[in-house]
Amino acid sequence: MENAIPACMRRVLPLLLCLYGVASVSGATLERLSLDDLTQKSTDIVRARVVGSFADLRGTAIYTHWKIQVTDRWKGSGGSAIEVLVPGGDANGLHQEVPGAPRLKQGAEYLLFLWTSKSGATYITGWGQGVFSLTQNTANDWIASRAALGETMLDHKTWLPVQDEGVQMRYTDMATQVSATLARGAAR
Amino acid sequence: MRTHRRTAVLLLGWALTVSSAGAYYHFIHYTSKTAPYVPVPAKFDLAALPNKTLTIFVSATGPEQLPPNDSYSSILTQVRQATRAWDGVATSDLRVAFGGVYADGTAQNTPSVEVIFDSELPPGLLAFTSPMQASNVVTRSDGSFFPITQSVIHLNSDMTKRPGPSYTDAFYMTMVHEMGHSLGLQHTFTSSVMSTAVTRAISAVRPLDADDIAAVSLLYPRNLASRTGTITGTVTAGGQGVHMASVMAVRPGGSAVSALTNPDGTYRIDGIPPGSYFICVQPLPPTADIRSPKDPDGNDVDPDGPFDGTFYPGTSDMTKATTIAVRAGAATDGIDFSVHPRSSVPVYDVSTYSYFGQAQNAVHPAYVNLTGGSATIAAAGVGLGSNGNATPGLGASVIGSAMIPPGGLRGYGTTPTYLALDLKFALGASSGPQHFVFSLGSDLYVLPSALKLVSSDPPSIGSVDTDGNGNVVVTGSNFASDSQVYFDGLPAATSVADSSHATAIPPPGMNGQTAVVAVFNSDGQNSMFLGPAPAPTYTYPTGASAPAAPKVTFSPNTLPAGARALIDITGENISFANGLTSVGFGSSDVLVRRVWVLSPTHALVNVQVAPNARLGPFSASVLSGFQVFSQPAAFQITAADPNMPVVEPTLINAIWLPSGVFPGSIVSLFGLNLAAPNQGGATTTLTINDQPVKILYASPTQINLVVPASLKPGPAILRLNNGTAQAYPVAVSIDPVPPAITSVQDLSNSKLDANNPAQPGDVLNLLVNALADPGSAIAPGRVHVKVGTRDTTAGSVTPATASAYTVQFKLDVSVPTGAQVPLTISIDGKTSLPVYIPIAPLP
Repeated sequence: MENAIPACMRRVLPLLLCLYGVASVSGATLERLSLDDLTQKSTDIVRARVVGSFADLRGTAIYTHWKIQVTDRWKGSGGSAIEVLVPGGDANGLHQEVPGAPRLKQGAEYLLFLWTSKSGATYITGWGQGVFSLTQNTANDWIASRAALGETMLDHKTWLPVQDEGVQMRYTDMATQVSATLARGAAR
Repeated sequence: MRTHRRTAVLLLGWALTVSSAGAYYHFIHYTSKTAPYVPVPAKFDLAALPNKTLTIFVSATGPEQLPPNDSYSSILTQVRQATRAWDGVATSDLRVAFGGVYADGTAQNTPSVEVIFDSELPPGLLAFTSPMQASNVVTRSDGSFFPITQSVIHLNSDMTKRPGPSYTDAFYMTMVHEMGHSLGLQHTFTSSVMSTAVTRAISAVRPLDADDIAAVSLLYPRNLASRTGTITGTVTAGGQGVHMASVMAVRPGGSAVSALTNPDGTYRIDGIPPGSYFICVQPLPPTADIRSPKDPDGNDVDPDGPFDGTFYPGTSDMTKATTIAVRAGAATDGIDFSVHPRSSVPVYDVSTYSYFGQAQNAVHPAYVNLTGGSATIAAAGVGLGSNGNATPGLGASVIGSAMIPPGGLRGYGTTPTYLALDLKFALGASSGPQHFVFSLGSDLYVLPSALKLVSSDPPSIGSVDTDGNGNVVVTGSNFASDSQVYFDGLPAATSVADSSHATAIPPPGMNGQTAVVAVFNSDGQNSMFLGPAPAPTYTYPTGASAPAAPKVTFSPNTLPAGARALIDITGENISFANGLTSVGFGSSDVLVRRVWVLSPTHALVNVQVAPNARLGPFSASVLSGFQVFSQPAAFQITAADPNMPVVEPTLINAIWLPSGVFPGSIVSLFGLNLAAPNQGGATTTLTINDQPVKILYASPTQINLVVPASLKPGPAILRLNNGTAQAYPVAVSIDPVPPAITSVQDLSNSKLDANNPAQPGDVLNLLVNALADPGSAIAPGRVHVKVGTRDTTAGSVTPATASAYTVQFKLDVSVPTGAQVPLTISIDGKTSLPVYIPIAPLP
């Protein structure tokens, strides 16, 4: 019947065959990471303030090195000063735009999920997904939040593009969830 | 990692001339903080590119992980295919070439694009692209710009993650999309290849849409203005300009082209193919992922807030919208909008889906066979519904042949909520893209190419077999006469016998390689819509013994900087094939001009080494089908020799360029040190395929010569000695003898002259020699007659004598008149010398 919804459509939209054109890359393509994913995949989870930055040309890309001072650490065993690399910036008379790369601000405080590669360089896990601004609400609770991201984001199970909705949580609640994830990981 | 010489930046001050680009989807800088806003884009400097050609390389350090049935060579083929998409834009002056493999750490001076497999990408990041630009503006006669010095496409070294596997449609279009970024394009919202995944609606058989073509052509224009039209206007809210509003020209049954507004609300949409268009304006979605333009201080100039989308002239009711006629070479000004601000964008990021096959695979965008009379598709997106219900008040309509009947919009599902859209097709509905309009209160959202109406079901594959000749026989259904078989995403030479049988020549592959086989139809549908899963495959034969690695020899394998030369290439355990063989020398300072495949083991390559090329050893690679040869330090660039004669390997017909370079023609050769000055060419000698060449004139930079009459069409080796030194041989292309018009008569077989002129609308007969091989049947569609500027297809082509044909055609009613109007005939790109006929105006 014309007005009936076909049975095939009554299922949640089934897995798109990966063989035809849905997946794509914008300026950046991200894999959606849940808070648990961020926790497990990061080598460091820190609350830190940005205290400086500089940019340099590393091979084929300009990277801005953000210097952060750690004030609280949830994961990792590094020191209190970390240098976080984010592609993009100005160096050697050159300018590089990297759509989708997270932007930090001098003096701002963040909750950061970080990943250190085999080369020893430290990056932000999931790019914009791993940066949470910290603000206080009227009850003086610290709130960790990030806005919905505009980059193409793919669900890592279906590889379908998904809408990002942003995150807002009380800092203490996030700490509890992260701790629980870390504990489960340690118990395995 | 590849090192890069610091760019020498030419500082010429801020632009005073208007850039050819509007506030488009480029990386934009404004030269002032107040109107008039002069947008200055970032783009490659064509003057810094040899032959205006940008070369794209792939790192020899391939991915660390590959999915099953995938291969590094398949990745290379897809990157090469993607370069061809951008290289094929006729209105872009930028050429794009595939440079093969390069070695990490190679230093080069010429701008380039590189694809690398980055193991430094943090978890959650699959890929990114970033053009690097000089910080100072350059001004040339065609405008000002910030030169892009290099672009790098970073793919995840773990290719088991998206966008792989490389043999998928998705990977190919990902590469086309990323290359667009690397050329200087940002996202657009017209469902073209530069749109994001959610709304993109193109296919591998036609990867670029009108908006993509306009965007790249505006950065690197070539005759764009004469072939397309322009619309300009202003978008205001409360009398104030709205910045970064998206203004779209949407053509019923066609594509959409768009632009963003300047801070003062002004906009300019260039590159619009002629036709009638609805014009609409809508805000950028919150997920736009557009880098804002920069002001003179380098700060972002952010977009203004959302507003109600609207059609011109100021209505959200599509039935009250008026269309604008766009003509080539003309601008329509004053298409203004006054919009109403709102707090948020209610509907955006909509994707449509249709379902195919027993497994009911969802395909995006939706394809619907209109011969079925009706269909139901699904839509997903922000604002369409919640809790299983469509958003109250949401309406949907179609710009095109399809219609959504009353009650044909229903919500379903929970989280998220989807829409089911019933479709009916108007009498006389025609296939092509259908644009959807979603309306909600005073707002509207236009999704171009939301639905592809087609007139057949998608092709399907039942079996893949081989015949006794090494060809692959594909059986299935819904094959069209122009269907093409793909092997791991690489199109193969295909012969379609009928709707269920096709034969393809598999591209050269590796022993035992298993390639995924698919059939693509020109309407964009392909056999992967239906499944089955796993996809049908073809396994290349495995030899009795272990396969030997390909081996390729280059001669010469050393060239000085500034040289232009022919390199002779011979191969073992690799099969060269026309159109499937690429050669690269691991550096953008070496441009491969052209490859001729003479046999499966022999090829000729013309190369051009930049005068300022980095010296030293470089890798060399050959990609033929899926067979890859790559060798580090296989090619050497040495210091330049200022006295060396240099021959430009392009002969120019000195009398009539369109006739080409054919045996017996008089042509010009250009270069450096071709002859000693003031010697009149007495000591310069020239041969083509070892035949002596008659030199009519010689100077250090130009030689006029007669092409030996006995040469055969095809590549020929030209050797020059200027009396002191031998130039490196180059390959030149000898064209077939062009057609020659011997008489022009009217239908009464009378010759045209001053007393018997033709008139517009008359039917004329041409007697033409050398149109084709004697006795060949010639389809009239191959033959074009150009009278003045009017090009007409022949009405009939019939043999007149053993070597001549009679071509009958009708003069266009708008043909120019005069005593001597030029007339030429062409076939397959060969054009005759002109004859001149009298054409009198109609009484």
